Amino acid sequence: MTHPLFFAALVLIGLVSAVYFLWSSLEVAFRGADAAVLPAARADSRRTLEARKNTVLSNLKDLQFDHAAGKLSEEDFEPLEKKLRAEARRVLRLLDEDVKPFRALAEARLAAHLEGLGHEGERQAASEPPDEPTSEAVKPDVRTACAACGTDNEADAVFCKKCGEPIDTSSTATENDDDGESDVSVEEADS
Amino acid sequence: MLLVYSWTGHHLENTFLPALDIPFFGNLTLSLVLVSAAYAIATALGAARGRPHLLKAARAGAFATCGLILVAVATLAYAFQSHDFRIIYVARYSDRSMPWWYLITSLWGGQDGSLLWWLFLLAGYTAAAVRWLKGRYIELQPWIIVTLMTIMLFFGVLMLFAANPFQTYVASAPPDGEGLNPLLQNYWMAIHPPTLYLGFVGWSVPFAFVIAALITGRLDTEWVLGARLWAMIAWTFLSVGLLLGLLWSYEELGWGGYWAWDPVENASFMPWLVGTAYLHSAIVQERYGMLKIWNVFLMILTFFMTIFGTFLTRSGLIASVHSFARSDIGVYFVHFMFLIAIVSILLVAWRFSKLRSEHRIESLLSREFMFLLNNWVLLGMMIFVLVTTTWPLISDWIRGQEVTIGPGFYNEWMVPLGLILLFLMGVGPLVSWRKATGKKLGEALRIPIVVAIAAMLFHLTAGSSMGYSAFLDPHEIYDTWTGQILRAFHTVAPLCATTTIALVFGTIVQEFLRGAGVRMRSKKEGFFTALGHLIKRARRRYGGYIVHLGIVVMYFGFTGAVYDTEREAALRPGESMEVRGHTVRYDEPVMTNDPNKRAIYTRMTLLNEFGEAVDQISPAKFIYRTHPEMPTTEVAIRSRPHEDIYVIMSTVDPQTRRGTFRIVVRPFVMWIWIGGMILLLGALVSMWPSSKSLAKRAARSKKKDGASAAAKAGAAVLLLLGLMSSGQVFAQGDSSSSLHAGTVVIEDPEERHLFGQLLCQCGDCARLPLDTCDCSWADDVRADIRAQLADGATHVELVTAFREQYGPAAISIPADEGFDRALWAIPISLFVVTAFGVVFVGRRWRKRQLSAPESEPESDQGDESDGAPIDYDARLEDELRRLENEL
Repeated sequence: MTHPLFFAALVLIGLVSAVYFLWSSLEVAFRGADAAVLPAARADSRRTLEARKNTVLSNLKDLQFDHAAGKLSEEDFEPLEKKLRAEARRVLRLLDEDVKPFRALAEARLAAHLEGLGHEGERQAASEPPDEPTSEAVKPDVRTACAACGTDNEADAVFCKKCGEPIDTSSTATENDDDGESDVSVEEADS
Repeated sequence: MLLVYSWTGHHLENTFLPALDIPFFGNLTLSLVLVSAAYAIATALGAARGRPHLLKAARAGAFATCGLILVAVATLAYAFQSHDFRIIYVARYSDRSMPWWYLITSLWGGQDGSLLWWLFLLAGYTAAAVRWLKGRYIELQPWIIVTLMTIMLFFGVLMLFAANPFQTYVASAPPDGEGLNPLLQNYWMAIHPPTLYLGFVGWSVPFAFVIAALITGRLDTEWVLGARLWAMIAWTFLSVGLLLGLLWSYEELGWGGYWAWDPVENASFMPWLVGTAYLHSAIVQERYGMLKIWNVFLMILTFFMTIFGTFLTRSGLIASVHSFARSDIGVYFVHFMFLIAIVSILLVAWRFSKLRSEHRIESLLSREFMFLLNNWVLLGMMIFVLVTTTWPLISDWIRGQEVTIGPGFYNEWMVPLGLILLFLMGVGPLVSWRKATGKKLGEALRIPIVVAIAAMLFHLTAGSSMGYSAFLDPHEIYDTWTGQILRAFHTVAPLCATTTIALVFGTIVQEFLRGAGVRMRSKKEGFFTALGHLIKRARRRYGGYIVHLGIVVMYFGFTGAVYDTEREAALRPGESMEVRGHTVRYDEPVMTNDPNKRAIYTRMTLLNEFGEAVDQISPAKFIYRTHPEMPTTEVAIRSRPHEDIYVIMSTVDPQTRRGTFRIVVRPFVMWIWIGGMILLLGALVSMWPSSKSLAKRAARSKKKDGASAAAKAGAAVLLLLGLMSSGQVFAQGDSSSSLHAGTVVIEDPEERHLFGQLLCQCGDCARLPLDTCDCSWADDVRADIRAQLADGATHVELVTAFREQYGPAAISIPADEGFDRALWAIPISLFVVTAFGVVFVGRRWRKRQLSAPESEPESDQGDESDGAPIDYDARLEDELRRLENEL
């Protein structure tokens, strides 16, 4: 009779979980509003935007890939790429606008916090607040020119993207701090 | 209480059973499911109407409903295991001699139980989906819960009022049950129905997404992205379920084939066709925001077809091998389908303005348009199958005449449609997104065309000497011009198939090679590294190509069917027969007995051309104790890559030891199963979560969840592979399911083809085709027709004569005239008209695009509101690089 016993146990598990969930459901329903839902709703709209960004970017990559694989002629490729790039820029800007109020909020809070600690002004520019609401922080637009060829490179570039010469990274050390968050996400991705 | 009973139940089974009212408990649980589902709906509605905190309550309510459904199923399982024969369902589908695992499969062995099982799987999906939704799609979530709970309500009501698995006998319980039908007592029963149900039920989740999107008006790509994974899961299960159905049919049912265009097979094939169309067109919406209304339509139609298919087979409206007992649940299904249709139509009409495309098609020669063409063929096939499957009903309603449509009709028409689809599958991936040029396409097709021509030439020159001739000499099914066209097509069909298969195979392989080539050049990687990274970076695309590859391989296997050779002979021990170069010698019959059944094996030896023994095979008949009137046919199959030898023992006389055997040599069947495994592999590749999302999840839930998810996925793969690779020659099956019944010795395959089109008219045989009906009337008619054949009458003449004598209902391929012509004319003309429609829509889109001014603002480059301008171009490059690095 072990098999009936097993199913009897299943019945019991089902019953217990049903009662547990019903209980917790009723508890939530009658306890009243829970503010925790609202930030989630905001994250939801942001997720849509991020998804849109990923879509446009992968469209662009696909287009470039098709071009590289010889499926697209040059005259077709260029206008299409231009169009997709414009779209991608638009989404990136929307994403930036999306975090703007939060950025302001975070800065205000940081200022208030520092004020409370008695440190004013000087450290404000140095670091980002830890509770920045997004992972895709807006990067400050600090660019580094290559010493060899003069090409404009990203702030965290180690080698020039045009000529491959090493770039003097000491001058960009402070900006690297700012980039901490996006670096983390790349590391996550690689693991 | 239950537990206490179980500890002691061993001794007290009969005395204590009445004290614990299991049937009442089951019914109570079902009622509670209704209450709980209604509660979840109410709270979810509250959440949608501006009380967001209720969402949490709704989610918990949904979990509670799923928990209660688990209780109901476990209660029924408990009743089976403890032989509670007070419950009618338990008594009808089990007996005391059955081992515990068949007692579990009995859960879905009959109508009522399988509906409960359906509800249980839906509960599983719901619990998984609601859990997955935590923190995502907050706006859609309440409505997703409402939709899923409504579907549960329907099944709950159906079960309580029409098909109650807990119904008890009014009088006292029988001492023992009737036992499960022997043809269901094999391991396929444990895997095929649950897999297929998972494929059916799974579409509920993406359907819930589309309904939620329609209600909330959030009709951009959001719901498509959300439903993506779920649609893929449902599609994979449906595909694997269909394939397992082929395997089951082939290895167990013992009639010699794998697909008979039976209504139940069609009922699961139709959602597969629509679902496949959806998976393709969803990509277009995801990428370019086009085809929105079309995707909404396809998703609703897919779900509708799953319910419609269930209705078709469960209501007993159409005769089928799988038919359940005729019951009154049909009317509930009609109401439910009506509800789905009305709600969907109203919602779409309400949101029509939001369903416009965001982009226009750039060119008729683009991947987008190829997807549209693919949808056109898939839907065309679906409509063809739909019209043909329901034709007996339509004919009965309109002119009160019964008709039967045999597999011959489907094969005749579906092969050309399938080839068109195959061709598109080859060309589609070569066309680039947005806009392709003929010149580039020509370049891309060059190598595949060379491969195709090589295959064609090879088939033409070497084919007939190897026994696979490039041309056939088929019989016309009609004596009209339609019949001639079809005949012409089927004459060259094998050659067309070989050429197309080679073309598609060439394009797919070329896609992989070219992709790897691009990476090898740009990243300086080795070939295999490049190939690996290529697939890893675009799992869905290359997973999709692997699925295509699997389908091509399966097509190859299906094509083998045109070379099937079969012979039937009566042999004495020691005699042998020869089929397609193989000699099979009948050695001796062997009888065995076990508590469940009596088995008669016939030992046979397979000889090669030199007369040496190659293999031993033993086809058999099993006679089960509980169902002596239903002996099962246990076929013996020897599988080789180039052909299967399939031996059916029809009868054996215990006195004279004379046996009659039917031997079918079926080329390339093994490739269907190999293709199926490739398809599964491709589906898994495209669904496999990226290590990025795994890492994210791991980070979120402290590394625990990701590992367990990976472990779960790995276990699932192993399980599925294990199931797929389980060996051959497994016996079982059915001899007396109504459609593939009886044993008739017909030596000439030509005759069998003809007899398959004629239905027995004796009045008692449920209108079986003459090639399986063994009544005396059929014997006489066969003798008569043989005589006429010997006099030189053609098939078409004989069929026509038969029809004129016994009426249009007497043949299995309706004639090509009058009302019956509509059977093929409706779907085919729809197919042609929509072809023009598709091109017209495409052209109009493009024209609008060309005349419309460029709407994309080009001036946004340096615009910035506060302070320094942000260089979005540089940002874009960064983002692209980030995407490249993400695996």
